[in-house]
Amino acid sequence: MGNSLENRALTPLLILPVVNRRAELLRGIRRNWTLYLLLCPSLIAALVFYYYPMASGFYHSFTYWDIKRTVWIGLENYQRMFEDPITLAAWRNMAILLIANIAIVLTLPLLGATLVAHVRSSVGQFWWRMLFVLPIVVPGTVIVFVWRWFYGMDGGLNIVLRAIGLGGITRWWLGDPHTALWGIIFVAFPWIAGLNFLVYLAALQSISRELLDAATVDGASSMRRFFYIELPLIRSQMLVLVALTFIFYIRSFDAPLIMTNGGPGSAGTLVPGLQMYRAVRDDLDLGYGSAIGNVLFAVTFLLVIVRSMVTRLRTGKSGV
Amino acid sequence: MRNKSLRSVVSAALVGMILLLVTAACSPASTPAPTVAPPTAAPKPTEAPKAVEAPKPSEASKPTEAPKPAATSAPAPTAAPAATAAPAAVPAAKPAAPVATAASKSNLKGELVLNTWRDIGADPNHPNYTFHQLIKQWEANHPGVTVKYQPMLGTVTDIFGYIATNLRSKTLADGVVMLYPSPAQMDVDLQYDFAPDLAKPNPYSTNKTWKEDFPLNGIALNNVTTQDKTLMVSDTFVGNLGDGALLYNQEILDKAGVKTLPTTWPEFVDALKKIKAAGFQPFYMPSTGNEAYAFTWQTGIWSEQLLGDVIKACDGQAGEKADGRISQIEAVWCLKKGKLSSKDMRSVFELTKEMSQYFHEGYLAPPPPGDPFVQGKVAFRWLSRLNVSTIAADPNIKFPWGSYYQPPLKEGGDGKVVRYGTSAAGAGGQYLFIPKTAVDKGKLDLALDLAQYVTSPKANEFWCSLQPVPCFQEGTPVDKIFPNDKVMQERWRGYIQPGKAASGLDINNAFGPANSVQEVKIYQDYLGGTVNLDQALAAWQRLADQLAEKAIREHPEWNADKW
Amino acid sequence: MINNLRRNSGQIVITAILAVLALITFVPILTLINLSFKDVYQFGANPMGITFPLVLENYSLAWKFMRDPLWHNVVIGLVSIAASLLMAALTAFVFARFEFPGRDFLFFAFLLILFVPSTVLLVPTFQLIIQFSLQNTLWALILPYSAHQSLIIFVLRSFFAELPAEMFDAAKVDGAGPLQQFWRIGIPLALPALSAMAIFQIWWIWNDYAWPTLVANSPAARTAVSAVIFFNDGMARPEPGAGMAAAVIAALPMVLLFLITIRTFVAGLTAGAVKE
Repeated sequence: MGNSLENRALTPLLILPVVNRRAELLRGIRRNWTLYLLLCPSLIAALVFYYYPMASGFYHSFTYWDIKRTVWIGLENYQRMFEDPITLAAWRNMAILLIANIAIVLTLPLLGATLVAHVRSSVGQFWWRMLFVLPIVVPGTVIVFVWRWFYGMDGGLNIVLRAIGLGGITRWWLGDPHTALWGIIFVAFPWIAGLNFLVYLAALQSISRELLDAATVDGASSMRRFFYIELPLIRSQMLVLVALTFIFYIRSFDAPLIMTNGGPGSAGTLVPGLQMYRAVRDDLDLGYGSAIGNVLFAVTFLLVIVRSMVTRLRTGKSGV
Repeated sequence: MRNKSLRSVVSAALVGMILLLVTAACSPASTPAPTVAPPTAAPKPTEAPKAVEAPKPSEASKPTEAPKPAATSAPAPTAAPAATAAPAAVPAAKPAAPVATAASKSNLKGELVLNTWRDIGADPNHPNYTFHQLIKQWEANHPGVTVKYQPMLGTVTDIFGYIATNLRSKTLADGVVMLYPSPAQMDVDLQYDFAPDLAKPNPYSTNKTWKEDFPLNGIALNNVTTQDKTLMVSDTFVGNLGDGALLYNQEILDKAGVKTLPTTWPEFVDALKKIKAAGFQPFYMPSTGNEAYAFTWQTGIWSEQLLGDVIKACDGQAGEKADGRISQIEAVWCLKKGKLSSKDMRSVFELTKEMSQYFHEGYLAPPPPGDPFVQGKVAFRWLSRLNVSTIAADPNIKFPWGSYYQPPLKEGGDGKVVRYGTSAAGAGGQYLFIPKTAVDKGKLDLALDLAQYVTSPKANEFWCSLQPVPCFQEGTPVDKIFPNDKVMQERWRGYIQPGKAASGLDINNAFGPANSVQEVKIYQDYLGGTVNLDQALAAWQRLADQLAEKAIREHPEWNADKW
Repeated sequence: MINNLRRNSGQIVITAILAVLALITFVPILTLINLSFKDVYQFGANPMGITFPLVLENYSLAWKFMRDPLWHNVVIGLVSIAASLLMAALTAFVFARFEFPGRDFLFFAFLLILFVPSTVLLVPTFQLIIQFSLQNTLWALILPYSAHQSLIIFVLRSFFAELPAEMFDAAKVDGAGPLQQFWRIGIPLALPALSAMAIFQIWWIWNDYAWPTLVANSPAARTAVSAVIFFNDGMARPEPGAGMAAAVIAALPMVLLFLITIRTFVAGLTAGAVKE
C-alpha cells in the first residue's frame, strides 16, 4: 500500500527482471561452461547407458526385434504377455517373494540385531557383528548354488531332517511345484546375517544409552523398552530397508534362474525378470523382452509414486 | 589392541589356507586322475548332442577297458573295420591325411580364422581331432596361409546361441566349424551358398562335380539345404550310426528277472514293471539340466511314431521336397495350416504320462551331481553316441552294460525302430559354413578351398577311419564291425541297429533346443500335476503358434502370407 | 545377587540364541567348504561329515578353470571402479559446490536413474553391446559398470556439500578452477568416502550374475560367479567336489578383501543402504 507515485515508479522495475532472467540464464550458461564440461563424462554415461536404453526399450517393446531386423507390430507383445497364463504365474510368484521377503526383513534381522545390541560387552558385540556380517561377502550366486544341492533328495536339508526324525517330510524340494518357490525364499535361513542386520545394528547402537537407562529406572521391562523406545526410533531405517528389499526383489531373478531355471514346469518359480531374460538369451525375442521390462518399470514407478504420496500425506497429517 | 591382533590371526589363517590351496592347485595331479573328469563338453540336447572330449584315450578296439595314456590316435590295426568292401572302407593300414594334389591352389595367402565347436585341437583322442588334423594338413599344403582357431565353448545351447547371435550381428570368424546344425543357425542372407560350387568339380578329387564327392548321395547335405541353397558342407559318416541308444544295466536286469532284452513294446513295459518291482529305478528321464536331451528325444521318438499321418501330410509342402524329412519351413506350414496341432499331440502326452511311473525318482527336480547310470541306480538311459566313450572310460562303473534300442510302439507295420536325430546314414560330421562377412573380407578363396579339401573323398576316408566306430557299409552287423571284440559289440550294438530316420517333426528339430526346453516344461507341468491334459495341450498350442509366428517373421522370403 | 543372576541369565540366553543362529547361518558355507574336499564316493556316502583323505585335486581342477575368470573380475573391477569413482566424484563435486543454471534439474536426472530397475535396461543395453560388437569382451562389462554412478554421486554430493567453504577459499584466491579445487582438495578429503564406495561397487560387481552370463559368456570374458555356474552346469559331469571348489575359489577374494578392509567395507555397505 504505497502511494500511487511509488507504484508507478516500480512498474518499469518489475518488467526489467523478466527480461533480465532469460539473459541471466544465457549468461550463466556461458559463464559456467567449464562446469558443464566437467559434468559431461557422467552425463554421457548416464545418457548412453540409462536414458537411451530406457527410450529404446520403450520403443522396441512395440516391435519384433531379433537383432537382425526390427518390425513394428504395435501392441502385439503386450497382448501376448497378458494372454499368457505363465505371465500371471510369474507376477504371482514375484508378489509372494516380495511379501515374504519384506515380512522377513522386518522381523528376523531386527531380532538378531536386537540380541546383539543387548550383549553386554562391546568386545562381544564386535565379534557377533563380525560373525553375522561375514556371510554378506560370499556371493549370492554361490549361496544359491550350495542351496541347490541342499535341496536334493540326498542333499543337506533332507539329511538334517532325517537326522532329527522328520524323515517323513523329505522330498525333492525343488521338483515339487508347491515347494520350489518356498525353497527359494528359505535360502539364507535364518535370514539374520546380511546388510539388513548391519543397518539395524547401527541404528540400535546409535540410540543413546541415557534414554534406555532412564526407561529402566522408570521400571520398564526390556520388552516394553524395545517396543516403545527402540522400535520407534529405528522406524526410518526399517522403511529404508523395506524400500531396498522391494527394489531388489522386483528385479532379481538369479535364484530362480540358477536353482530351477524357472521350473518346475513353465512357471513354478518363474518371475517376470526371468521371463524377460529367457526371451533375450534363449529366444532372441528382444521385443518381447523389452515389453516385459517396461511393464516391470511401470509397476515399480507406480509404486514409488504411491509410496511418496502416502509419505507426503502422512507427514502432512502429523505436521512433522 | 586385542581385536586387531585377533583379526590379523584370522587373516593370516585365511592367507595360509589360500596358499595351501594355491600349492594344491599348482601341483600336478598325482595320476591321470581317473575319478576327475576334465571339464569338457556337455552332452547336451538337440536332435543330436555334443562332442565330449573322451577323457581317456579312445579304447579303440582294445578288448580291455583299462585307460591307456598316450595312445596313438589310430585304432589298433588288429581291428580292421568294415571287413566287407565299402565305398569308403578303410584299408588295413591307416590312411594318412591327404596331401596336396597338383590342382590345389598352393599360391593362396592370408590368415583364416575359424570358430570351432569347442577346442578341436585339444584332445588327440577325440573324434573331432581328425578334423583338426585335416585343417592342419591343408595349412601345411599352403605355405602362405595360417589358420587360427576361435573356439566356442559352453553347453550346446550356449554354442548354438553364440552362433545365432553372432551370425546376426556379423561378428563370426571367417569360417565356422559346428555340429548338428539346426534352422536357427542357417540364414540364406548371412551365409555363403555352396550350391554353384557343388555343381563344379572339386580340385581335390577326380569326380566330375564336388557334389559327387559326398558319399551316400550327399545325404549329409540334406538338412543344410534350404530353397536349393546349400549353406554348409561336411564330412559324411558312412554307415548307419545312430545318434542315441538306450544303455542298459545288465546287473539290474538280472536281479529283476528280465532275462532277455525286450524286443517288443509290451515286453519293454513289462521289463520296466519288473525292474520297478525289484526296487530299482527303471528309466532315467531328467526333465531339466544337462541331460534333459534324453527327455526331448524320447518324446520325439514317441511323437514320430504316433503322428505318422501328420508327417505324411506335412512332407513336401511349402516348396520343399517330399523326402521324409521335415524342415523348419514345412513344420511352420503345417502349424499354420492346422495340420499339426495340439490335438495330434494328445496321444504323446498321454503316453508320456503313462510311462512316467517308470521314470527315475526326482525327474522333475534339478539333477543332483553325478550320473545315476554310472552309479548303478537306473536300468535304462538314453545316451548320445558321442558320450559313449566317456561313460566307457568311467572307472566308477562296476557292472556289465551295453546299448540297445527301444522297440517300436506298434507291432507290424515296418517294425523298424525310429532313429532320432539326423542319424541313420551319413550323419554326424563336422559342418563348415562361411559367413558372408568372410566373403566381404576377401576370405572366400581360402575358406572355400579348405571346405573342398576337408570334404574330398580321401579326406573323408581319413576322417572316417578315426571315428570311435569306424565307417562301415550300411547293414554291416556289429560283430563284423568289431570282430573279436565282444565289449565293443555290446557297447555299440544299439547305435548300429538299423532303423529309419525320424522325420524331425517336433519342436526340437524345427525350432532348436532352446525351445524344446520350453516344451519340456509343459510336460513337467502336466506330469507334475500342475495342469491337466487340456491345459497342457493349450499351452503346447500356444508355444507352437508363437514359434511359428516368430519363424515367419524371421523369414520374409518364405512369403508365408501366400500359403 | 538375584538381580545379578537375572541379568547374567539374560545374557546367557542371548548368547545361546545367537550361537544357535550363527551356527545355522554358517552351515551352508561350512558345508560348501566341506564338500569341496570330497571325491565322488565321499560326496555320495557322507556329504555332511568330514571325510578323509581331503581331496585337493578338486582345487587344482577348479583352479584351472577359474583362474582366468578371477583375473577378469580383477581387471573389470579395477578399471570400472576407477572410472566410475572418478567421474562420479567430479560430478558430485560440481553439484555440491557450484551454482549454475539447471543444476537441480540435472541432479534430478541422475537421481531418477536410481529408481529404474536394471531389468528394463537389460535388453536395450544388450542390443547396444551387440551393435558395437563388444559382446564376449571385457568392455561389455566394464562400460555399463562404469556408468553405474548414481548412488555414488548422491552420497558424495552430500559429503562435498558439507565441507566448509574456508577449505576452498585459499585455493580460490590462488585462482584455482573447479577442476583444480576438486583434484587438490576435494579428492584427498573424500578418500575415506571414496574407498567405502569403491568397496560397495566391487561387491556389487562381483555379485552380478545375470548380465555377465548374458553378454560375456565366453572364456575370453567370463566372470567368476558366471564361471562357477558354468563349470557345474555347462560341462559334462565334473567331479561334484570340484564344482564346489570352484564356488569356494570364487568367494575367497571377497572374503579376503572383507577381512582386510572390514571397517571400510561395513561403512561402504551401510552408506549404500542408509542413503536417506
